[in-house]
Amino acid sequence: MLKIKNCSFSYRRKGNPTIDDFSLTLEEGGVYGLLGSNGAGKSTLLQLITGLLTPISGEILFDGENTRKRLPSTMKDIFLVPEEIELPAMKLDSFIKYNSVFYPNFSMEDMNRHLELLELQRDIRLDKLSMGQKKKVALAFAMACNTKLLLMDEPTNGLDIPAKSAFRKFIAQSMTDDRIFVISTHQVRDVSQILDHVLIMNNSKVLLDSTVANIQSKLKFADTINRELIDNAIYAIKGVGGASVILPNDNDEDSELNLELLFDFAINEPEKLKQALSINNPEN
Amino acid sequence: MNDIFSSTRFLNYVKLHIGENRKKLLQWVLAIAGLMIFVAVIYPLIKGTYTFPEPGEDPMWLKEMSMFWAFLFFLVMSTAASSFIAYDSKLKRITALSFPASTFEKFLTYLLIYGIGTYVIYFIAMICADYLRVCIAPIYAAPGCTIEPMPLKYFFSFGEGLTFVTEDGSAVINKNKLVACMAAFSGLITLQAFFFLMASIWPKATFRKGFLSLIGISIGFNTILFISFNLALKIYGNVWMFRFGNMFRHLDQYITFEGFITSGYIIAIVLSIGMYVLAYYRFKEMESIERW
Repeated sequence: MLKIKNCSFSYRRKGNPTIDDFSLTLEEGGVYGLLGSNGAGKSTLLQLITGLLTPISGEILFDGENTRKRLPSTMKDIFLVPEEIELPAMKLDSFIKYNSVFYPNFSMEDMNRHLELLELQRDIRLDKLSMGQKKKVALAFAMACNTKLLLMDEPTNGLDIPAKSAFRKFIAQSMTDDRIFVISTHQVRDVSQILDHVLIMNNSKVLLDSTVANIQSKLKFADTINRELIDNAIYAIKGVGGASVILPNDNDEDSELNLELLFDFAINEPEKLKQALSINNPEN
Repeated sequence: MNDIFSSTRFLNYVKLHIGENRKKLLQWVLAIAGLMIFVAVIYPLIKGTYTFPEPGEDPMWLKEMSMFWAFLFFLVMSTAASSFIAYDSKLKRITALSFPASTFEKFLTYLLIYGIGTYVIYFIAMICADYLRVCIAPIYAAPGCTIEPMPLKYFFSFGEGLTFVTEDGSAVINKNKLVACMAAFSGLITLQAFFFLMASIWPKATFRKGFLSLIGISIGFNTILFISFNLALKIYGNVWMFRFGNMFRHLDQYITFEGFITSGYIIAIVLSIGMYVLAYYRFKEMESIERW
């Protein structure tokens, strides 16, 4: 379990905190989508969780241990795939040989399967790769480490279409009851099918912390030209000739989650969203 | 699981660090070897050192000794300044800091490679270059020239040795030479520790920033000394200066020569350990961002 307790962080000593009195709990067995506007603090939050930044106050505990201590016993169960990847000047084979020994749950079988899906050879030189290829290598290795907590910052940036599909497959296949995946992204369409929990943050606050199942049971998402539906919608974004709408799901109907619309709703009318979902304060 | 030190994890981390920085480390070793070969093999050829036979020891010994000492100082400072190259950019820091090895293991790795490793590589290169000179020089040297490998004792004692024989045949310690040796070794280990500390604070452009800091500290220290001295002179007058000068002239009443040499080494060791400890704690607090 990952617990973020009243965490505050600022990049400058005197300045507005990027993260202010932030609290969150993430349970095992969940694929969390972390959404937020630019500058909301998503990358900062991921780095805080990994112990790469020191909070001004509060603490972050992973399985009861403060991650800021960066103890090997904690770090072997955490892997962060940053937005930009820098890989050493060596062959992929050597990279795997030197790095895998530090992750006890590393699986060569998984690694080979990932490489095959991503069409990567083991004798490639890492410093000669494009950004997208480096991302593929990093994701393949991260998945193969089978760490309990896997944090990914914009994982689909730079990936081609087949790689995005492969990524979704990895997530689906790798998820177990004792693992936590956190995907911070703007590319919501790439990940909406694989998320089972949505976190939306803005101005250091969690605007939404809910399972996808809960959202879909309470809300219905539709694209419509029906004037009456648009006027009665809880939230709507009008487009050419119609609108994308969110309606109360009174009849327990199935609808595909429109993350972009949900995100807009959370940012613009957070209180209304809370009411619509009838959830308690998500920071408890 | 031991979170502070595990020998397996430490060795794996050493292998990882060498593997990832293989190219840079190899360039460093080749640069050292190249420099040594230039001094030992090319230099005598250019300068015509073996054009005429000279009585006494090999004429290259003194030249090698002084140049090798100068290079050693420069090398120790520059490699210590590179100790934290794994942290010289934000992306590298994100990877290196989140790596599941303890801070102590990582620190020890850098100390081993950029601290102790420097001396090992240096002396191996120096001895090999010197022997190469002994092999190659006879090809072009004039007959009768003395060409012999430089004894390490010659290098460490700055040439003549730490003792000299008086007229009556007894061996007397060359005090000036001993002081020079103490100053050189103390300076070496202290400078290495200083640049190691600087690298933990500024992993990027460490040599430049460390050098400027050293100049700043020296200027600051001398300024304080100058002000204190003049202040004491103003307050206490010439009497103080006379007493101070007298005390300095009769220093052997207050401390023995051996005590002076030992104190020099102890101060250097304590200072160095202090700086390494500071470097460790600075490294422990390192973040993915550079705040200053």
